Amino acid sequence: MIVSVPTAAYLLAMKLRACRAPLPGYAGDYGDLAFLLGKMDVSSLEAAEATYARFFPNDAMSETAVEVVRQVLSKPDKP
Amino acid sequence: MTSKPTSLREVADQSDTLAGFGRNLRDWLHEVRHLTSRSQLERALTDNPPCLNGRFPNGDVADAWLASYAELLSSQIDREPPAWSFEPSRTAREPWFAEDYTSPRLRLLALLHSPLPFKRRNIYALNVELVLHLRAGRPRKPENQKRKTNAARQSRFRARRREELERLRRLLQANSASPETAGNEPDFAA
Repeated sequence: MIVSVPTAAYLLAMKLRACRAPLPGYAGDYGDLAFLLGKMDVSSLEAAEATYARFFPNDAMSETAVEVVRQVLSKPDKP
Repeated sequence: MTSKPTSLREVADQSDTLAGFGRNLRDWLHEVRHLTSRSQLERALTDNPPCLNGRFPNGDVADAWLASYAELLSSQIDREPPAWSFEPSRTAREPWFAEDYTSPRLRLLALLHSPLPFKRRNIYALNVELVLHLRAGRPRKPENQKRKTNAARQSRFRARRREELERLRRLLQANSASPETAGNEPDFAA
């Protein structure tokens, strides 16, 4: 069996692209984004956009993704 | 251990809390990805799920999510939404936003861009997940069902061969018993 593990940066880019809605009682991509941004020490929107652009150079981040990143970064107790 | 829900009814049947409902709904969304035909997808939503309002706190929100997904999926596969999805009880009493939507701007985006089936039931959610892999042709069968079908086909093939051999043996016996054809047995080695 071959197990492949994506890098944190790639995972962050994919999560930013999908940015799926939270379900009742399940934060979904939002929780994962908060975790990954904290884990990778991403401290600005521009840094998140740069990570996204590495993997999706022809697309801009969606309005929702931008807003979610802003929200996570504005929290004083971000992970 | 319960299996993953394959229909909206099973999502409701297996849920005892709102958090559990969220997990079951997520599992159902994963199951839906494996369905490739419209009839399979239709079966996943036609059964009327029991109302969850009263079973656990915020059960009305869960009812609204189920009805919203039923309508959304129906529109994606060009089918009429099931009648149960328009029952008045399938609407959240209060507007529902995810707990993670704490910024006013995120709430505004949700108010603007939630899909209509969700909006009309007081659910405001962005980028609602629904991944479909419809394809032409017969519905894809699971591996275990394919193995069963192949085993049955093999069994039918062997039964036919046994019958043929039996008929051939009877023919040979009849030939050897007959005085006119005795000694004229076919030479299979030739």
